[in-house]
Amino acid sequence: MAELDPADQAYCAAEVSREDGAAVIRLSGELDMVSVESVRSVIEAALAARSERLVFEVSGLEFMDSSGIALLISMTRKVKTVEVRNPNAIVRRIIELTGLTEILLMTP
Amino acid sequence: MAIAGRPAGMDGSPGRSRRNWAPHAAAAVVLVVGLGITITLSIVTASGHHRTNAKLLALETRLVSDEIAAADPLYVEDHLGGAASLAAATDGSAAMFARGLSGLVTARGPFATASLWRLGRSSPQLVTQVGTRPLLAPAGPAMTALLRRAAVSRTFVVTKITAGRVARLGYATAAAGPGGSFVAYAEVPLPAGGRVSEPASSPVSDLNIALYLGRSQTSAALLDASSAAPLPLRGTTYTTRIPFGDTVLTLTTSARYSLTGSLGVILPWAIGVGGAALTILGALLAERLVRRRARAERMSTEIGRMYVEQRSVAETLQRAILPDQAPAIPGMQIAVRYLPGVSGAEVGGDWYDVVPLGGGRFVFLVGDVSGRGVRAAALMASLHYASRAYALEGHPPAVILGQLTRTMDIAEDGHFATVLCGLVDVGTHEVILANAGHLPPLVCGGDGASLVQAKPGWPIGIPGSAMFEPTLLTTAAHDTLIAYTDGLVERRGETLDAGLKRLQEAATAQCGSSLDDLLSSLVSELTGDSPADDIALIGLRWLN
Repeated sequence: MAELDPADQAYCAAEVSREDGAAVIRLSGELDMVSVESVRSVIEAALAARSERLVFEVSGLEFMDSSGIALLISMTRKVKTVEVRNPNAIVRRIIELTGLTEILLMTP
Repeated sequence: MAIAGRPAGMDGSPGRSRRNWAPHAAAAVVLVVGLGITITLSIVTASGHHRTNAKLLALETRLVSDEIAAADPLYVEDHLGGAASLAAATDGSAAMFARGLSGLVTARGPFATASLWRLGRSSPQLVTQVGTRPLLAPAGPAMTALLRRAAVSRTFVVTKITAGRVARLGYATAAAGPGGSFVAYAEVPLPAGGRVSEPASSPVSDLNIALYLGRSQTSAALLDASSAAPLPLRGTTYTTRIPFGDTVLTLTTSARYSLTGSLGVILPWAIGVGGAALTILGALLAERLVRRRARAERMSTEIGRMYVEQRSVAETLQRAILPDQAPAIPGMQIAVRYLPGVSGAEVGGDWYDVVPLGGGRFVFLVGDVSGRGVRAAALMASLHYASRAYALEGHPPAVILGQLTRTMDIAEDGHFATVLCGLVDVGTHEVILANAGHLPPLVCGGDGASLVQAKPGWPIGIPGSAMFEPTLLTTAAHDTLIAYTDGLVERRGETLDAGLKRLQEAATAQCGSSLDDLLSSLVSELTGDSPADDIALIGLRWLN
C-alpha cells in the first residue's frame, strides 16, 4: 500500500557478506516502514545459509524508525546474537531510548 | 501487509471463473482491417499477375497466328493456285497440272492427293488425279459442292474431311482459262487425332494451342492441337481468328504454366497467408493488451476502493479508542491531542488513555505500536483494552506493563510497542512511572521544562524476562506533565536528543500558557502543524 504514495518512499540499501560464520548486513540510507520489507527479504535470504550471528553494519544508516527497530528485534528470535555495528548517534539513541541495548548489542 | 488473501470479486466482473473468450472491439478492428488489407493486396497482386499473363498470352498467340497466316495460305496459293492456273492456260493439260505440283504430292506430303476438275454446265468433270485416292469421294455431292464453292470464290476454299481416325484438309482453288474454268483440288493430311507435339524448344512450347477451321471450336472442326491439354481449352484462354481462304482459322491458346514465372503465382498466396498470419498475430496481441489494461483498471479501482474502506475502518476504530475529551479528574486539567501523520497513507498505532481509579487517583498511558496499517491499529486496540483492564484491577504501572508483554510477540505480530504508563495521585502530587522503551515525559513548571528520566525497559512485544523499574516523580503545584509519542520529536537526519532538546525549549517558553495553548504550540513548533508521523500527546496539569 505504501507504493501508492511514491513521495513517501525511502530508500535503504542492504548488502550481505560473510564474516567468520556471521552474516553481515550492511545497511545504508533510511530504514523505515517503507523500506523495511525489502530489507527483510534480503536478510531472510541471507539467513537461509544458517548463521548463528547476525551483524548489522549501520554506519551508513541515516535514519531508522520503529519499523526498523522491529526488524532488528525480530531477528533476535532467529539467531543467537544480533550485533549492531558502528551505529551513528541517531541510531544509537533510538536503541538506547527504546531500552533495547541488552538485546541489540551495539559495537563499539 | 493488511491485505490478507485475495477478497472475492477482486477480478471485478462477477462470473469470472468461466473465462470469457469474446474478443474486444480493438482486436476485432485489427482483425477486420488486417484481413481486409491482406485480401485486397492478394487480389490486386493476383489480378496484376493475371493481367500480365493474359497480355503475354495474347502477345504470344498473335505471334503464332501471324506465323500461321503467313505460312499456310501462301503455301496453298503458291502451289495449288499455280498448278490450277497452269492447267487452265493449257486447256486442262493433265501433264502441265502434274508438272505444277511436281514433287509436292508424296506420301510424306505436303499434298496427299491432288486432282484437276473441269467445270461445265453439268457436274464437274475429273480431268486428272495425282497421288492417292482422295478421302473426299470424287463423285460425291460434297466434292461437287466444294468445287462449285471454289468456282465462285475469289480465293481458295477449305473443308475438313474425316474418315475414321484419318483427317485431311481439302483445298480447292479455281482458275479460268481460254478453254473454260478449272478447279484444282488437293488434300493435306492432318495429324492423327488432331494432336501434334511441339518440341520443347519451340517458341510456343509454353502454350496450349488448339486450331479450328471456321468459327466454332468443336472437335469436328479441330485441325491441330498441342498434345497435352484437354479440349476445349479451359482457364485463361486467348482466341484469335486468321483469314483462311473463304473462311477463317480460329486459334485458341492457354498458358501451360505462368508466363510471368513462378513468383507471380506464389506471390498472391504468400501475401494472403503471410498477411493473414500477421493479422491474427496482431489481433491476438491487441486482445491481450486490451485485456491486460482492462484487468489493471479493474484492479486499480478495486484496490482504491479497498484502500479507502480499510482506512476508514481503521480510522473509525482509532476514533473510538481515542476520545477527543479525556475524562474529568477532580483537581486536574487534562488535554489530549491526536494528529495523524501526513506522510504515511495508513493509519498509525499511537494512542493515549486516562483511566480514573477513584480516590483522587488515575492511570494514564501513552503508547506507540511500531509501523502503521490496520494490523498496527488492531494491536494498539488490544493493548489499549488490556492496559485499561490491568489498571482497573489496581495494578501499579510496572505490573501493568509486565502484563502487557504477554499480550504481544513481535515474532508473531511483526510489531512491538513502546508504552509509558503512570499512576497519578492528585492530592499527593506523586506519580509512579513505568516505561517500556518509550520516550521520556516532560514536566513543565515554574523552572521551565525538564525531561523525566524514567529508565526504559524493553518495549512490549519483546519476549524475555523484562523488568520495568518504577520511577517516582513528585510534581509541584500547577506543574504540567506531558507525555507524547515519537512523532512529536523524531526528525530525519538528527538524533532523538536534538528533538528532545527542541521539545524542552519549546515547552519552557510556553509553560505559563493554558494547557490547550501549550499542547498546540508544542505541535506547531516541533512539526509545523503537518507532522510526518502520527502524534499522540497528553498533558496533565495540576490545578493546585
